[in-house]
Amino acid sequence: MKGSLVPTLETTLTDLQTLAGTTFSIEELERRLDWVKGELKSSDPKTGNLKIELNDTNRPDLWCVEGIARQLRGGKSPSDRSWDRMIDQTDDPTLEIRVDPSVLSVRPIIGGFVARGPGLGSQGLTQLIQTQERLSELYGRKRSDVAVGVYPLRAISFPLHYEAVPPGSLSFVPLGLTERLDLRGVLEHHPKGKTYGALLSGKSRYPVLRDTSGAVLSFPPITNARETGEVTESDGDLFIEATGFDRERIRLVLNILAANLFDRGYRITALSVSEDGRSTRFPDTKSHTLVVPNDLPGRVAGEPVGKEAFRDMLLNYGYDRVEIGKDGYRVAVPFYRDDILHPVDCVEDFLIARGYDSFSPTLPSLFTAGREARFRPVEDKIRELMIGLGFQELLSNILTSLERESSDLGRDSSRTVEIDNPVSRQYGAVRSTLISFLLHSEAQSSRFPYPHRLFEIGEALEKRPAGPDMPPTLREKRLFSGLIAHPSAAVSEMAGYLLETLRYLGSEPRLESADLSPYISGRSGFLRLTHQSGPIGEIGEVHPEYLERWGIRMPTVLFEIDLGLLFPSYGPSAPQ
Amino acid sequence: MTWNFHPLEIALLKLLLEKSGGVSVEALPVLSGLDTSQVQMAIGWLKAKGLIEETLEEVQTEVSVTETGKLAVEQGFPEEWILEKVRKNPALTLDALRKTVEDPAQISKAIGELKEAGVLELQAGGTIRIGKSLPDSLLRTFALIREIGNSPPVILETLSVEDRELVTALQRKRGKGKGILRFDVREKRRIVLKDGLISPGDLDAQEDLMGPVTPEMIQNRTFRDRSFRPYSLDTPPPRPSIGLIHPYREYLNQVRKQLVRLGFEEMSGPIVETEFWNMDALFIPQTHPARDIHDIYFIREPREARAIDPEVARKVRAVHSGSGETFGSRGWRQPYNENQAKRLLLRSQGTALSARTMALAPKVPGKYFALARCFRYEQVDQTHAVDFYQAEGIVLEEDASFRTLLGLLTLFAQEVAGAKEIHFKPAYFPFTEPSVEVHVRHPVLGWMELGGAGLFRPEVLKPLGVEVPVIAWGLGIDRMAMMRLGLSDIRDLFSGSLNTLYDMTLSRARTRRESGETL
Repeated sequence: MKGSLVPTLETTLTDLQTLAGTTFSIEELERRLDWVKGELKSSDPKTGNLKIELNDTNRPDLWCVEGIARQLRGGKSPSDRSWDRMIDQTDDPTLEIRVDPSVLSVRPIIGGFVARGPGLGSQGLTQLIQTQERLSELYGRKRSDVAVGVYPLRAISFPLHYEAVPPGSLSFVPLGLTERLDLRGVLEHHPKGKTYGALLSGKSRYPVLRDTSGAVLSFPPITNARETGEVTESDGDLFIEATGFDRERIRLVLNILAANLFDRGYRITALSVSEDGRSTRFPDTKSHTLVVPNDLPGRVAGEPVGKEAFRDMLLNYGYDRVEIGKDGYRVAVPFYRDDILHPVDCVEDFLIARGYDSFSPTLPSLFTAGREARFRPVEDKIRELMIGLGFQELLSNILTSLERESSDLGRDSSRTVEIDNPVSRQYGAVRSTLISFLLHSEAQSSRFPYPHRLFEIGEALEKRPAGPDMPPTLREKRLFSGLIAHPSAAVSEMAGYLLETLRYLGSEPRLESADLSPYISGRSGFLRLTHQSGPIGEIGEVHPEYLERWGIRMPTVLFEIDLGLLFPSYGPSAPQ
Repeated sequence: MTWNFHPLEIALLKLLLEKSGGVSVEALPVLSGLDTSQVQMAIGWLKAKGLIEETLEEVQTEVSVTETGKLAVEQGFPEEWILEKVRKNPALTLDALRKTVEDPAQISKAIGELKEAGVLELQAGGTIRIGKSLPDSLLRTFALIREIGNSPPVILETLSVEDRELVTALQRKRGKGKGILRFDVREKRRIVLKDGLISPGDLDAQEDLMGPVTPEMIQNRTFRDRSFRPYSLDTPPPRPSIGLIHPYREYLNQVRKQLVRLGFEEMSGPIVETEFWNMDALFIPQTHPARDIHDIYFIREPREARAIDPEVARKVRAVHSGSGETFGSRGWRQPYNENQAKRLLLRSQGTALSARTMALAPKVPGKYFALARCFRYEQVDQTHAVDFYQAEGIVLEEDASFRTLLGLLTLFAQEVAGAKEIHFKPAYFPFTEPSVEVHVRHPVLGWMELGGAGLFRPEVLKPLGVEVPVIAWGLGIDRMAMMRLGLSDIRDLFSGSLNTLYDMTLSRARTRRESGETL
């Protein structure tokens, strides 16, 4: 199973311990990180710097030091205040963002809040910037789904206006530059404009957030304005906004940021977003509730689970409320989490809270008959025969380069499957033959004592080019190929090996002369099962011209057999 | 002292007795009438007997440019076109610069060195500025490589001292792998007979003795009343060429047999998959970062599979979008794109095979496994291979639970990895809940991850028509194989070098013997 792209957090042991309200050794921390599916990647005893990898890609609330500390405290805020005191009850009606309909077809959703506090200090600011980046890059998929902006509150006059304007109609000084640029100019000249500009391609209007004085605060999702958009360590009061396409995602991101700031001693003031007469408030801390069926925890765990034990473990893990009811547990999920999709997710939290190592392993009890895949016995037989003939088996990568598959063999590339988005050209194609690797291996092994006898069995892919009404199709093959190289290697020797092997596989194909590349004309040919049937393989002496091209200085002979054509019921097929 | 010589040795000794100044090895085949390999054998034996001395007369190093070098000569060196790009576009950022080439690794080293040399300077806002000009030594190096590239191979020893240093420094710095220059060392050697150890008489006596036993000798009884020349058994015999199963294959076979013995049935399936089976059916949201073009290899042509079974597709769509029959789930509540589901890619995880198996009415109780080739979107280096094997499987059982999952992993840790200490860590996979990582303690390397596992989510099982709980597991088989085969570079698992391959096989043989394994 593949781990996904994982967020990595950089913090200090002191910051984490301060927030967690306790001290622990590095060894202890490693163990405790199990609770947040985290892994300590490195720790520097001198500076106290920590690097933590967070493996739960579905819990962005844990991608920050505040969230980790909060989870280690069982869901209690590191500020030692109760969550219901997070949002100031005194309402400020001027705190409002007015959404203009022009933005609906560009980047329709915005939300935000105001946070007032003592100032973040250098650690707090570093963490806030990191969290903002991580939420925008990973959760917000490189700002396409969500982009977050943070501003000092001092220079902003509410209410704000969120609208979309023509690219040339407005100009401002973006963060990091000194000159005014219009919106198009920002995309062309600002580093962030170049990175994220594609998100606005095809739009005739670009989104901007302005304050009541008309000053541009930001050009989402690209950059803030220099005047109002640069936060420093000493900034106490902040304004935070997020833009995107999905109200639920915006809500979650703002809830997480609000919780983090609350954890660092801030007070949050909610802000309303009004659009077309309707109004929404952020942060929105109403918890999502669901019912976990009574029998589910026991069924998943594999042992009886007491009702109180289940409830208490979830409460210890940070759930707002767990009520034991007739048909199940009524569970309220913390407002900064959106990963509970199904009751089974609550059960996992119960298992983690109790500790995985506290469950005693037991074996599956029912008998099943084991069996190898259908094609294994044939392949094992081939290996046995080849090894009896003194051939060494090779194993190679399936990805290769197009040149190796085509021009290096004097073949055209129409049957080779290419990768649309290769990491490098060296691995830009899927192999359609095993003989390229055999030749590569021979070229690499000129200092190894001769004679060389090599073979490989493995999967390869062939593209059948499009016909007049037919799209191109793919065929996965299992190939069996061999190479011999020594001072007197010749096609007759190889044909002897090959036919002998096939004889012991119950098949006696015929060789038929044919001119094929990269072989010497008159010393190569096809193998056919009968006169009429198509070729199942090829054999030939490699032309010195190609030996030179590969850097081989020894006479070399190759063969290749398509096992699927030799054994008709063999191997997997391509997807339909 | 009586000597005991092979006829090949005698032939060589006779020559050497005549030529007091010794003979060049190159000339020996012509002078002796022996072929090169016979000459080499005889030299080896005589050296072992301490009768001759071999001296190095001269070393010639032929320098030519490699394929990579040719490309650089034709298209310019990375350092040169980096500078050109920066000059042309003053607003260029490092990131953007990296994106202008297909293989960023290719230039990141050059960028690093240019930064260090003060040629490139990073500015606020991420743009790059040209500081100093390219160092003279680098310019001369480029000119040298161009010279070498445009002429027949150059003999290193004939170059000026300064140039020779530049060329050899280049070889050291760039390493052997993707070097620009190729060095072929040709050695001229000479052998001389040591004084006073043998005389021509020592050879005559030898010639009366009989050599190999021949069929004629037996038939004609010519062996009667004559003596055989004794052979020196302490001379190392020539090593025969041997055919062997690839050591990694041998390991895979061993794992396969173990799994079959534990009651698992082997699954197989295509290396080209659809997004549907590789991800949608596994409840990985279509917007998940792991589905980005930077994480999956997509096929250029054909782009899409013809169709996905509409019945299964409808059910999978429902759990993704969170509307319709969702089996108690809120779903991802995101739009589900059916064309994306058909997009063809290279299988990124063996779990795709498990999904296909579950959709085909698997046996209950049932156990399945695959050793599947999977593809990883990463720069290839010593810990990352472009494609690799994954051991992967499922267990379907009415009473399968978290505890049976732990039991199974314990069994694997003991049976497959030979581990005694095991630790279970909470993990996250989009398709299992609960999810767990199993870590084992290796005697030398300490704690390491053996694999990941979990119980499939209802959102995976129900749309595929599976009504019982299913354990899903995967083991990092390539890392275990590397330990067994004594490798530190994962690329060696698929190496084409016969030397590497035989080293691996012998290293495996040693660890097997030392650990007392019987297999």
